[in-house]
Amino acid sequence: MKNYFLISWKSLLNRLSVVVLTLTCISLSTALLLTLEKIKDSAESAFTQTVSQVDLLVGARSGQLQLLLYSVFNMGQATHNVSWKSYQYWKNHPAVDWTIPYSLGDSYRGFRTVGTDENFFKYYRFKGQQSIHFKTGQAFSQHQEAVIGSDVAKNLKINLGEPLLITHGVTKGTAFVAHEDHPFKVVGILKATGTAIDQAVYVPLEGLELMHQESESVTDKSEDHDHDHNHDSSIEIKNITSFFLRTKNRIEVLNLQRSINQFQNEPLMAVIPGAVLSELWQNLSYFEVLLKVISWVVAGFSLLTLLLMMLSSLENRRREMTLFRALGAHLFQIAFFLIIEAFLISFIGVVLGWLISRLGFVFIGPFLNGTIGIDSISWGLNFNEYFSIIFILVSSILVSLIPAFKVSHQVLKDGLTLKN
Amino acid sequence: MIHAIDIKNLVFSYSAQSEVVLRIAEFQLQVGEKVFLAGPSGSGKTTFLELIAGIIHPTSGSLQVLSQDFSSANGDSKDLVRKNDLSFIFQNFNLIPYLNVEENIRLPFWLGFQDGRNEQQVTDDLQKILKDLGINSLQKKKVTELSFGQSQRVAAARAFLKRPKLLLADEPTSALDQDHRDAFLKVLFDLAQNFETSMVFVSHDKGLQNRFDRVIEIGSWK
Ligand SMILES: Nc1ncnc2c1ncn2[C@@H]1O[C@H](COP(=O)(O)OP(=O)(O)O)[C@@H](O)[C@H]1O
Ligand SMILES: [Mg+2]
Repeated sequence: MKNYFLISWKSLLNRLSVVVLTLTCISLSTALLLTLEKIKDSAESAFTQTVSQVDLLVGARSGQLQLLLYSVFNMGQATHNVSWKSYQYWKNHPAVDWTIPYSLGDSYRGFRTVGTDENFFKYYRFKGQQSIHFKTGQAFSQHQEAVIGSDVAKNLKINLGEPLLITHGVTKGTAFVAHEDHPFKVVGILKATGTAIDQAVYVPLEGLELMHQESESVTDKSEDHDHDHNHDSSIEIKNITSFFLRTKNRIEVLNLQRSINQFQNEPLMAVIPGAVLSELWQNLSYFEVLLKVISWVVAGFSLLTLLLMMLSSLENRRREMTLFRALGAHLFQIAFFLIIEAFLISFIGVVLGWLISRLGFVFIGPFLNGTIGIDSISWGLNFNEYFSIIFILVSSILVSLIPAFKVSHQVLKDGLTLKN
Repeated sequence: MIHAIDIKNLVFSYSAQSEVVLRIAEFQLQVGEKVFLAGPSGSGKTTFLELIAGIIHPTSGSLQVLSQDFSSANGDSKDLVRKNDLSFIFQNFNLIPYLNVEENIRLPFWLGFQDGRNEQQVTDDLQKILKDLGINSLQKKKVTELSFGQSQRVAAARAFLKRPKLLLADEPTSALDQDHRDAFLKVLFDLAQNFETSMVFVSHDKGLQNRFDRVIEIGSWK
């Protein structure tokens, strides 16, 4: 067996230029397959794991998807709020471990503002176990302090200590109604997470409430407004938009979900984020199918190149093959040479392709981070990647059966010497 | 074994429509015998060797090679005989261009030839044959750098490393000049003597025939 590989190997070296061409095709298409697979995986995990370790997401009764989209992805708006009283009720429910309140509806130069509390920094998890970290600064502790996501910092070039003027309503560009008298000061910038977290400004619930009260007073009775910025802790929060919730015991989730959905005091809705997110991703999977189709078409073309290379070499190798036969090689053995040859080329091709795809991430990964959320390069292969690679190897062997069949036919016809 | 080759009433044509190429009422090759088969180009000499090699089979009649029946189309035994007991030397293109001299000589072993000798014995035998043929300095050389005479000697080395029972040579000297031809024939005979190899030597060059045990004019068969 070793000798078969040796002979095939030397034969390939003898035809280096065409072989290199074929190798390039196979390795590039493998690289494409693996890269797209990786991007898809990262996009999927960035999407479905934008929030993890949260058992329930609770908001005013509306659509499941709507609640999820505005709470997790900054998309769309809430039509109703959750009253502070109801929030307190569920926050203190014996089955509940912790909650993260979200108060939405304002923005800063196109990025949404999230009113929340210190639990956000303490408990929010994404992509499994990952928690929120600060690139610089720390969490807010005063009403007028703000923390910004990494994309906000990068795109708007904001540094620590700078003031932010939050706009009412989610608008892009210059806002009409800016809460001009009520700037927040940036005290922390978050590390990139590759999720929607990067694209928001985080302020304390109290600060947001204060801002809204002032803006009401500006419009209602502007002349009476006393500009009193005494930020006492007695600010009364009226409502929030939604909240994340973690149970003490996972067994409670379904029960709790049912009781929240049947809550008498206010029409609330609780959804299990992971489940809804996965379902949503499934609905978006035409994107995935498209990527797959493209990369498999490319892989198909590279196999075609292999086939053409092998078929076109046969004519030049007739003497070689008849000689093998005269020296005692069985027809199967001669056909086997071509199969080994195809295997060698495709094997080297996929190994190169794997290297190219991983090195690609080493070099372009840093630029992608935050956009699609590839944050670490894993050199190993996941199930789908193994599948792709094995598929290419097996198909190249199947493809080589065509020239293998042809060569055994030809050798039979040629006899011992070429008579023509 | 009585005969290396035994033929009775053999008829061969390439297809039912085409002319009969060979018609041999009777032919025997004794074990150890060296026969010179003469005939002009296109007279069927190569076709005869292919029949003996089991690459094609007789249209009718019986053909036995080394006591194995070669008369019918089927038979793994023909492949086995070819692999284990036959060697060939052709007029040209005896060597695989991308393998070096030694690799070319070892090729039958790589393709599955086995006769009970171990690695070391084969290597020793290889060295000895290279020496007998006067090409031991070429062992690691690329075959594309050899002269024609050297290539034929490498082919002879490969043929005899197998210690074949029967050597089929198809005009191996036709591209050599007179001096090289005689020298080459001499080593071929010495090696055949050494390994008790029977030989069918095919050529249109009658100048070589007096060294052989027997000379057959292919035209005499028809
Ligand atoms: N594969 C083949 N198919 C049909 N006819 C062939 C084939 N090979 C040889 N022949 C014919 O058989 C005859 C004998 O050819 P060949 O054995 O090569 O002669 P030689 O070796 O004596 O020059 C020639 O007429 C040749 O055209
Ligand atoms: Mg001929």
